[in-house]
Amino acid sequence: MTSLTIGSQLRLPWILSALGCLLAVLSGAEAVKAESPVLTIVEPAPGVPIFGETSFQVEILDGEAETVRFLVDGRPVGESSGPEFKITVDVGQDNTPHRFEAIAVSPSGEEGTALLVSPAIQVDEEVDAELRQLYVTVSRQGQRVLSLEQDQFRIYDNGYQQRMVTFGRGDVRLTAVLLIDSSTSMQGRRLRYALRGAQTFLQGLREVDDASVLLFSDRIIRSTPFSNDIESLMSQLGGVDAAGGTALNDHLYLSLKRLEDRQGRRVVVILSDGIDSHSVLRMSDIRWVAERSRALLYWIRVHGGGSDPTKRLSAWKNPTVYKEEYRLLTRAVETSGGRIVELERLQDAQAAFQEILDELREQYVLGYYPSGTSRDGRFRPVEVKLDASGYEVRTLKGYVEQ
Amino acid sequence: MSMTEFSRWISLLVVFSILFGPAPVLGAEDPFGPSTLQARALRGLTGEVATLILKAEPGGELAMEMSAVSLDGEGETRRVPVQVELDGGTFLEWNRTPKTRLEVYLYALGEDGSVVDYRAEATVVDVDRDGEVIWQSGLKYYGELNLAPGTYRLRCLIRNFQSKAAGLREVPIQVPDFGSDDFLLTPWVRDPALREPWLPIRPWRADLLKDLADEPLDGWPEGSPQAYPFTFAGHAVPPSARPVLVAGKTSTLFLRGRWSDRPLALEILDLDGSALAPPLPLTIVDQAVAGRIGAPADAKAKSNGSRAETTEIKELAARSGLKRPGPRSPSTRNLGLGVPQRTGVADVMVAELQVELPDSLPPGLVLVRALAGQQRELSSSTFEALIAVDTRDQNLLWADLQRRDLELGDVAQTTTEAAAPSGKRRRGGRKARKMATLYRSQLANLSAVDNVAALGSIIDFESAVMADKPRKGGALLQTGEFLAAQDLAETDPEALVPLIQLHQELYLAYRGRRMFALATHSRVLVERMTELYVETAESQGAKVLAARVLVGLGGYLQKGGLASTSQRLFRRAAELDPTSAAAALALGVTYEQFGAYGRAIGAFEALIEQHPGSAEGLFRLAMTYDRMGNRRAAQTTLDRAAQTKAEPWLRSLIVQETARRELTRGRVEQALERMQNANESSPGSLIWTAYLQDRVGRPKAAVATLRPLTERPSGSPSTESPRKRYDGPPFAAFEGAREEAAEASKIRFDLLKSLVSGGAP
Repeated sequence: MTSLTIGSQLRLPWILSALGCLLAVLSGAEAVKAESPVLTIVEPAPGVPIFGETSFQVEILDGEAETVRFLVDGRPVGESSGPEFKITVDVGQDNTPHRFEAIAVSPSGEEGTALLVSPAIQVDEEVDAELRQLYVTVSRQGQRVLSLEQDQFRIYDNGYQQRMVTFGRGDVRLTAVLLIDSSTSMQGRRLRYALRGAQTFLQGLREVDDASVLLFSDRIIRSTPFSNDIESLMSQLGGVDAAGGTALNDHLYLSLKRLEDRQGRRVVVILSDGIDSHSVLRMSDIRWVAERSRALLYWIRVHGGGSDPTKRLSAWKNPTVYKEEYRLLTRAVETSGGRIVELERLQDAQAAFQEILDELREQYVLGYYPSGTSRDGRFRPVEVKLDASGYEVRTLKGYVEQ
Repeated sequence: MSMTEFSRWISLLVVFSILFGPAPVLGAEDPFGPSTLQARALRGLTGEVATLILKAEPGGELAMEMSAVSLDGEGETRRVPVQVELDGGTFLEWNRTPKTRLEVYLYALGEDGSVVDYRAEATVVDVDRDGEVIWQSGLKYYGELNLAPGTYRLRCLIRNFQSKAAGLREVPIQVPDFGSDDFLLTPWVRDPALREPWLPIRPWRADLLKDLADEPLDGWPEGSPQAYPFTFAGHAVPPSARPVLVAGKTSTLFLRGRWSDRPLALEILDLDGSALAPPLPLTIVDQAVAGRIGAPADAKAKSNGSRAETTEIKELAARSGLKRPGPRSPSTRNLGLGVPQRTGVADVMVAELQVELPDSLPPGLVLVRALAGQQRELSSSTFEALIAVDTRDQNLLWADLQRRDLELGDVAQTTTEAAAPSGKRRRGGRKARKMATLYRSQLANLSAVDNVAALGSIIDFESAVMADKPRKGGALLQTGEFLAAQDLAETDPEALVPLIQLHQELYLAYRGRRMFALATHSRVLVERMTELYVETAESQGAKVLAARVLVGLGGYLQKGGLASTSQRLFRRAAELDPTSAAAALALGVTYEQFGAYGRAIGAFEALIEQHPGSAEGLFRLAMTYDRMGNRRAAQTTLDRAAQTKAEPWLRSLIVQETARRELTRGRVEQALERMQNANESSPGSLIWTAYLQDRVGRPKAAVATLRPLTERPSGSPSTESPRKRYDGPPFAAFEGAREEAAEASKIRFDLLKSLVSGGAP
């Protein structure tokens, strides 16, 4: 109440004063308005505590910028000459506020600045933790290995070794979305081969597992509910024609959301060339979701559809964007602990789906309560190491706590 | 090709068909497809193809041409780009399926007959969709081989997998070891039809349809490689596989080499190597230091493009006892094509050259090479060209060859005939007059011009003419029917309106029946009659109506892959009727889709000037500003678009893009508010809304927002998304223009009937 009273007493003079300042600033700024770049900090997001490595990106809202200088906590940390004004910077692990400052310089030497101060985590902030499970594939000389014991694994979360509280191997319940590109490029036999592959996967499900099939193009062509009744699922996929553009990002997001409240291992198997022309969401948006999801992403990457797909012309995306989206999708799959299965000929789709199913049947499941977890929006790297050499270990590479 | 050679080839085909015929039909459980599955006999194919490539005589059912040039460079091997053109007419003649697998095998054989390098690729050609442009311009294939200095035979086999029709060509090539000496590469003549951005996007492979562009666009599409070797002044000048030079006229060529200050000349030889004329001086129009030609295709990328086929080829080589292809380029350095700056040595140059060809050159095939120096110190390899005497032949398309009854190597009589004397004379010859009369009598039987059933008699008539005269029928119909139109226009130009409508309907009918020669005939006639109508009616109303016709026709052409031609029609429509929203929109969208954003902005701004409330115009303008980096103009225009009464699909996009801009500024709540206030229910908007709900920490709400998407009953129809619709042509504008043109035609139908029934005007 006190502050309100003070506020009401001060309001009129304050407004007049502010208006005066504003007018002064505007009149003074008029001469340089056309040349001073106007910019905003896109990354990091406002209000989020920042630790370790982070992207520092600005966007020029108005005017032209030749270079952008980046400063963190008053120290120059990099410079970019565009077209994307972005750098990666390590702010360290201290729980302190950080001052992100960007200075854009126009070709005529005029400067514009943007400032963002990230907060620290409050010491009394509530931190909770829930069991996190890692699905780990171990192989040696190309053969999967299932003979390792719990004490041979070490888990690192955010750089700190964790205490493993559960250990399993072999088969664990899974729930999957088979996300199958059914755009025009998949017409005819190509889609039929893809569906035969999906059928192979579904036939391999056990009673405790279930799956849903989502055929998409620029829209949903067909979608089934989650089920392990293969006949029911397959009967819903007959008579489908591939048609339309491709909105992979949108339907990957939809798949991840559909898995959110499912139990067991959540898996999305994508069959697509990975080129998205018509999504509302960008792959950078999906990355935000994927890092918070607990789903394993597998991508059966289809080749052989003619000329380089990243060179397609669309009103929505140019080859540069296609390539970036392709890279981000690849990274999202690898970060999730899943992998990419290259498919040169769609006739081999059955083998590709079978390969993924076999892998899912031969994983270790390691459980732990992450230490020091908080919903701070930052990426926590995860690593699983083995007390043995000569093994290849693949699992989730990191996550953002939901 | 002689009959004997042809028979030998066919015999080979027959023998291998018997030996390695298709495998038996296998039964397969397949809930998605037919109940049987046919397996392809790969080994049989291998043997058959091997024999054709290695032993068959050049020729075959599919007419084709090939040209190749060795590029300069250092290291062990050189890039050898090869251009192959396939005649669309013979391809369609031998085609049996709506979608066809076309196989291209390109082989370099050493002097001992061993396989040194190859490319083998397959392409699916959508004949239903692209038949017309294939008929008109054929297909062009661009491939590159890597060859060490030496002498080779390049053999290219193109085969229709389904019908087994094939064509084979062979050209010799000398890959020189230039070292640091001066040299001349084989000169080349620009392909008259292929323009940016219809260029090979991948530097080592492209199979593409050509369309005539009457103006170059704004240069390379974004992301195109700089490795394409045939460039000049920042633009591509793709070589023609069958260059045509016109006797008595100036021809333009391009040349790459290092010739210091030596004078350049062109030598024209008969096929036996004897000179047909003294060396002709070459005038340098423009020249520049050649830049780096570009990185060669790396072996990995190369093999990715044709793994299935190369497997066959390896088998083929093994079975044939041939040497395996030599090692590919081990490193960029070895194949580096950059031009190092040598002290005291002249730079490699690229020049645009002109040559005056004498009248006396006889029509037909010749060999051409460039020379440098008074004493001919330097000479290039020869290339095969066609000497024509008719300037129209300089820009020949494959279809022109057929229409004019021309064949490469046999043009002497026909070109003379084509170069008919001009001067005052009665329109049309005797045959054309007769055709015009027959055509008029067919018109007299018409009951309507707006449905295919009513056009049966015309279809029968034109089909019969083409069947009777497969080579000259098209030209005869074109001349006769246009003559009849000219006669009608002299009496009353308004009678042309239903006639134009008639041929537009015929165009669609022929396309539907895959009769592409007649489809092209109808389309050309529509365009010519429309211009005739504008010229003779001399009214603003006629221009407006003509613009509608051209927009409607252009819309059909876009579906047929004739993007460049349709663009020309839209541009002409916009000239005829600058107030036409459909024309401006169609033109802008075409530019936008080809990445010519500067021109797209011009077209959309013209549209907005005439129709300030055009939601689609404003939205597309905003998006195009955005792509050009003009964020402020984009935002202002988007705000204007948001104030308009837009169709639902467009409203969806406007809202989504407005929200996107909020998110880009870190204003997630505001973005979500935009979406929720719009209360928009397209799938894309629901997904966008859900995502934003996630971002503000409301994941459960996001799940609820998405629920309608997956709860739709299975099998219920789904419609094209707004974003896909935006990416396609403006069909609604086309349809609107067509409807208006059809209405105008209806009310003039009786006029046409009375004129054609009343005998010759």
